[in-house]
Amino acid sequence: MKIYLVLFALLLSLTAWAQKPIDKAINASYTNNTLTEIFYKIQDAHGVKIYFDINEAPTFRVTRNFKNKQIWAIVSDLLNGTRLKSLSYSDNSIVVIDLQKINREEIETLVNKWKTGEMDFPKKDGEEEISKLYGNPGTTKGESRYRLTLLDKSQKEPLVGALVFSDDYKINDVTNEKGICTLNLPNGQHILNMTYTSFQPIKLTLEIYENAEETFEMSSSTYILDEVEIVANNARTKMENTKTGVEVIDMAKVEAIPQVLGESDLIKSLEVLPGVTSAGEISSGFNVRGGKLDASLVLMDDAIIFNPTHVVGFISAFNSDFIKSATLYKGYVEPNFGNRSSAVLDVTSNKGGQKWKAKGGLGTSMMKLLVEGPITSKTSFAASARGSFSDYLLNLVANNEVQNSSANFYDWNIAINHKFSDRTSLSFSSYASDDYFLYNQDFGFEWQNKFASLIARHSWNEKFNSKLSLSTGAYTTNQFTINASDAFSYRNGISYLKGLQSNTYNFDENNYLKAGIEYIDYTLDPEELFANEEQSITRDTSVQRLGSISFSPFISGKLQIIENISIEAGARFTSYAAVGPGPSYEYSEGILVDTAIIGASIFNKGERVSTFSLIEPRVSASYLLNSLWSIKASYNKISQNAQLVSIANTSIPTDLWIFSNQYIRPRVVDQFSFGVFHTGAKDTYSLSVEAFTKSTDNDFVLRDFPNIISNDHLETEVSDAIGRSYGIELFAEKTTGKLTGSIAYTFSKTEFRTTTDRFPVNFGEWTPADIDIPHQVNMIFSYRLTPTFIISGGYTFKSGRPFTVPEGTAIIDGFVVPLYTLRNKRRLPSYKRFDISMTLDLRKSTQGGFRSSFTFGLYNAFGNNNVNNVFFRKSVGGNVRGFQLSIIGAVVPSFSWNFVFD
Amino acid sequence: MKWLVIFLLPLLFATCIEPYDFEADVVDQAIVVDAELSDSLYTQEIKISYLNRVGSQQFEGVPNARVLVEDDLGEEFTFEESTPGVYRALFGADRARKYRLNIAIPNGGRITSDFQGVPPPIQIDSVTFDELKESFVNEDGKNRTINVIKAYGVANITNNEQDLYLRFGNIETVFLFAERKTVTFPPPKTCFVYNKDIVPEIGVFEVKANSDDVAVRSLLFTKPVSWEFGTVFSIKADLISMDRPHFDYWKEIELIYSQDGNINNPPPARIRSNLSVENRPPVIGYFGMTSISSDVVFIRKADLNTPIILRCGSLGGPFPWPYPEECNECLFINGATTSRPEYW
Repeated sequence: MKIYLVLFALLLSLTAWAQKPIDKAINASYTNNTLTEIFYKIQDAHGVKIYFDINEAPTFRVTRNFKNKQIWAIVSDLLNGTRLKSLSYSDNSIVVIDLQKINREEIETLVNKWKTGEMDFPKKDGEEEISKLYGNPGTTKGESRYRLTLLDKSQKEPLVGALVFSDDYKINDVTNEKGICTLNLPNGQHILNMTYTSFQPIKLTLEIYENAEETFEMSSSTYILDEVEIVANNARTKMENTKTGVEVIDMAKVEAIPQVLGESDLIKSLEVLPGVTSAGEISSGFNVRGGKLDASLVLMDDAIIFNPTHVVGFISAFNSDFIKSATLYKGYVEPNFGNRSSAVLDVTSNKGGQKWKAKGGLGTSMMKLLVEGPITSKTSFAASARGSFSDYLLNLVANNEVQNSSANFYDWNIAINHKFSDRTSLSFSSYASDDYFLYNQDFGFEWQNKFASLIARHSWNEKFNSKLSLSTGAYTTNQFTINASDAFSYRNGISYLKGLQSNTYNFDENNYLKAGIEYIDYTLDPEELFANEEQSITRDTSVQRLGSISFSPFISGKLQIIENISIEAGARFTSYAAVGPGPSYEYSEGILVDTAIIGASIFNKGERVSTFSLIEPRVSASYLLNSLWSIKASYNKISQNAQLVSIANTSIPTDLWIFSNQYIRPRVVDQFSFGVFHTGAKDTYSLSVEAFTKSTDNDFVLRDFPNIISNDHLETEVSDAIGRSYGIELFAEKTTGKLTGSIAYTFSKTEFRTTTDRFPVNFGEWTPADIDIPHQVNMIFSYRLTPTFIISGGYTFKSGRPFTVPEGTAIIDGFVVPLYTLRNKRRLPSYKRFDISMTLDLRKSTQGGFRSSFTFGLYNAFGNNNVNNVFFRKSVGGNVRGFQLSIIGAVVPSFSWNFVFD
Repeated sequence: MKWLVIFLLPLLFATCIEPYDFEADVVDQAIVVDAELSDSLYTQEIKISYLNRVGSQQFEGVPNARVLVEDDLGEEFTFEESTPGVYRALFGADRARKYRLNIAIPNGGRITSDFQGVPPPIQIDSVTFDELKESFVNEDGKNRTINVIKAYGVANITNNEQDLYLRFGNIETVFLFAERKTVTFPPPKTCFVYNKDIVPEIGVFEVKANSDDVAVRSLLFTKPVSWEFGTVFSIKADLISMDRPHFDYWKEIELIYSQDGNINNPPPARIRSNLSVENRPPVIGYFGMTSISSDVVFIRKADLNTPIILRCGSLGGPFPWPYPEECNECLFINGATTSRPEYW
């Protein structure tokens, strides 16, 4: 018996001594690793096996240190906050499985997949490892030039802004717009990492002893990479590229900025950039460097968007899920863009890939859905739709005016891409939207945007690429009043047909020549005013205004003079023609007032009325002081013949588009800009200072009480003017770490001066423009509390915009009437707003399947009563006094649920 | 669902309008001329005043001006000053003539206009009213309903061969107010209260030539039903016919007067003037000739569905408490006179 007791005691002690591998206490440090990477490391270093579903593994990255902690406890700790659970499967194995799948059958199935090799670790977190040898290994002295091109494996398109770096960051560069990056490397062995958002990274082990070039194809990854990497790319691109004032919009950051209805919004997110602003909460677009709303060209897949907003300016017309990339040009505008004098927002749509994916969301007043996937191995598509459903809320409010109001919209996008070969592709993209806004059964607006675009690309060889783009689109509006003696509908619209052909020859990654031609045929719909109620006294009228044809060949190129100095330059030869159908009037002695009209000529469709042509030189140069600092300067001349005429005191959807003619000449803007750019070591932060000055010729301002509606000779309603703007923009951005964010400050002045005696404004003196906002500060931040929980916020300060106040009041036939003599002599109170949002983003918690994110936000969290407009009218008792109108004068909470399924 | 509504309600109430106080830059000594004469023969007025500060309704007249209206045949009509800044004359324009204004102000300034023709008259059809309930949100954010009278001018226009430029104006309301004294001497009298708390609308409208039959019903004013209707309440309005520039002037006044902050309001701007001035100061205003036609509607207490409680109580009934002082002296009421309107 004793011997049994001794043996039992010995066995116990042996058991204690023979500790299970998963119970082994270890010291471990993991920096910015995914769980998959950590599991791989544990398995590799400690001989334990971790069985888990590679497709359901969380993709967030963690940085953790463990001291003397058991392996099973480390695994359990890492899974905290996810829906996964760790179980001890054997002495040296752990199963990590979804809580809902904890049953023997599921566990055995999972383990068998690993044992049979059906499931395995990707090569170091999906990183593709490639080795290359160039030249004779004996040549160890000197340098070799290595030119690498990164392409999207499925689309065969260049990956722009991909990061190429060594582990110690001594080698650190980004790919250019051709996906090319050239490195001068000391002969010998190097390890290069290549990363790009949503693509599997490549680790290249390189031995180079002679000049070489190579093309690498990166595969699309379901992994959603950390925003930090995307931002870092943008910061370096911004510092290194030749152009001034080019902002590559980071869509991940767009999503992080709190918005009014919880919907991420491209247009509103532009306003956090220096030099970009808007007149208020409701604005049918955005203003760049003192430019009017109409001075910003908005393109999606080369098609023109005339009104990029919904709900009278509250929400962007773009579904952010459908946007692949967006770039704002506010300084140097490449010569292939034109006809808008201030800025270009170039948006490219998502055209799907070879993997099925669905994204969507539901907010408190709108919902959206996007589906993308393959049609064939060479064809992919993406389709999205959004719609609002806010009217039920309006009906619940105990206010007659609100109950009698309505605001809703929908939009849809579809895009298809087909690759005929590695060299040739064809893509189709289409968009349509419809908005309806009714206020108090009194007045309202309807507007529709639509376009279709077809883009063919062909690479003749590795250096020579061509693109042919055809697009057509239309924007139609209807303003109406109802229940009034003069109830009316007022309809107008604009449509166009556009062709763009461009060819690019890349001498190398730093030198190229681009040439092409753009043709746009604009037609204005007949402008119709008609009674929409039987008893209305409004008399039906229809007016046809002149259209326009523009024909613009362009040429541009980039030349790297020496290693650190490069120049991009070009010119656009713009030729505009005002064309029929429509009338053109003659005036006695050239005096442009309607009482001086002495005749009119009616032009048929396509008949030329007047022409205007201009050579627009553009140049931008950069000097890289070192790998962290650069200075740049640019000059632009841009003309604009499509201009917007507002019929109200703020921009409204039914503002009229008109074209220049022999009396209203195209607006011509000259802009000089200069900037200093800095990127911190390892791209952790970036700084920039840009200054600009603009002068505007051939501008116009509306005269007092202009007669716009149903007037086919608007030249009598405007006063010729010139304009000037100048400003300085400071921008600082922290791009890495748990806390990221940016601060932007803009000082700018924008003024106009009338140049004719016909309708002088403010006696022909320099007058602040409606959009003159001298000071603007924008701060945004995003703090990642845990891998899945993010707090974001933003603060905006703007000087008040100018407005017109009465100098006094007069009693006229018993009516007390405010009298105005000078425009824009006062400023609204300054605008201040703080927004905050919290996001639980479980979309990164696993790699596949159905994942959600939940966002709760407070727009205008401090409830600032920001003044949108001031007006003067009779008050109780008939006296005249001022009233300030706040569009959003309270805290606006929002909640949205978004999902992704793939 | 309720939580959802609670979430969004702040947005719906977010839009708000509040008073905006500021110090205006008054244009020094700017003069306002309000000179609209008609083809009806009666004592007509030309008012000359200084521009008021915003927020003030004070009429600060320009005294001692020499005000002449002359026609294209050389006949002159002198307007005599009745009160400071108000110049009157018995005048009725001849539609075959044209008239111009000539003002000499004491500091040496001279204000003149071009000759203005008299447009053809258009007959007013009627002045009518509706009694209805109107909802509003009070200062506490609560819904309230009151009974109001909405008065309308009506014009039926047929077979017009030329463009017509019209507005309803010269609105005059009168109600009868009988004293019920607490003392016996002097004996109680009856007052006629003119334009008490009326905020008129400017209703300008244009009828193009050869339009189909057009019926215009234009709101003149809205007034809550109260003791201010008395036992009899009259509404008189004119249909005023103008020429195109004069109409544009009134259209501009209407656009400025009716600003309410809506996004489709036109931008504020300088109202046109057809007056020229020598030797500054700046002048704002218009000299216009009109043709007018009038109509009156009487509203008796019994015509209204809403019971009217008379200010001084009913005959034989108890006195209201506290007793309004105007029941002893009706001339204390703003706008009250003992002059009966000629159309009563």
